[in-house]
Amino acid sequence: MITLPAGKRDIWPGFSLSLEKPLRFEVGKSYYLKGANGSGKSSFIHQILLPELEGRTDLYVLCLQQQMHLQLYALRAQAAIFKPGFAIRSEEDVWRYLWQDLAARQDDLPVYVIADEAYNLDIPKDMQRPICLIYSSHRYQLEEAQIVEFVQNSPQETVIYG
Amino acid sequence: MELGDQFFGGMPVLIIKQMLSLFADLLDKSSSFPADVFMDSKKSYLIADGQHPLVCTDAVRDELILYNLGLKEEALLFSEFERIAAKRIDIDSKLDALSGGQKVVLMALLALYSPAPRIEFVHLTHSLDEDKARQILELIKQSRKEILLRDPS
Repeated sequence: MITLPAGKRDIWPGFSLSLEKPLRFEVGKSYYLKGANGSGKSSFIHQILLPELEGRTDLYVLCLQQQMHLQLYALRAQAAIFKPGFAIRSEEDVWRYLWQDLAARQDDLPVYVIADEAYNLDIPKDMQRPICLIYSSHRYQLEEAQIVEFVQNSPQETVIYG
Repeated sequence: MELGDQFFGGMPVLIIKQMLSLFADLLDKSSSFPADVFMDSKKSYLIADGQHPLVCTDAVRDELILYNLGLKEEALLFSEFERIAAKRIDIDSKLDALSGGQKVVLMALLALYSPAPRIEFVHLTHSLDEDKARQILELIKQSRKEILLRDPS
């Protein structure tokens, strides 16, 4: 589990994100980051959530970026070296490649899956590893997901309600 | 201003577009190339893909040059962008200051106000909230261009 403390975070000059109360992300649950375009969902992922997860050795992080062509090219290059023949042409292929990589690891550490406007949220049914799914989307809302809402009070500030 | 008189990163826009056309020939049409411009076909389309909305990485100015917008179209684009995205931009605005959805709105407006008579939008509304998707689709409906919408997902 990770907990982000309440408070205001300056994201860049002239824009801040405020957590109304501490925000907990637990393994075994799903969280839906809900908010209009420009409300700060991606900024929250990149500037608050990922820095909190990076460096942790007790979990894995699987992050699918929005408009992910650079990530796709990077993984295509990696696959060319480590898994020749594994064609990566789409986000679906990236998703499949990363899940296969996780499945091959001999441990039971949890994985935090962070999907920023993902086109695919299908988690493999045979995946035994504990998962915490955190995603934003304007297309999908999983029934079981808890809503983390981004409300833009002004161009300068968004408040996050969890 | 003639197309060949404009410069982008030190290269005439015409050369950039020829390069894009060459890449388009080399790559499968379904590949992840940002904005393919097919110039040679009798029925060519400007392809604008919401998964890869912008070609440039620095300022709005670069995208305006790439899409060959005139001054009148530029003014219209800035006005419509502010109306739809509730954010003011100008030619010097940095592209990385835009959110993913705002980049898609900008891409749609660039394509709509470009001289391209035919546009194919791919994955246009996936990253857009309901309100912005509705406003962009309304502009498409009003446009006199020949426009295709494709969502392969």
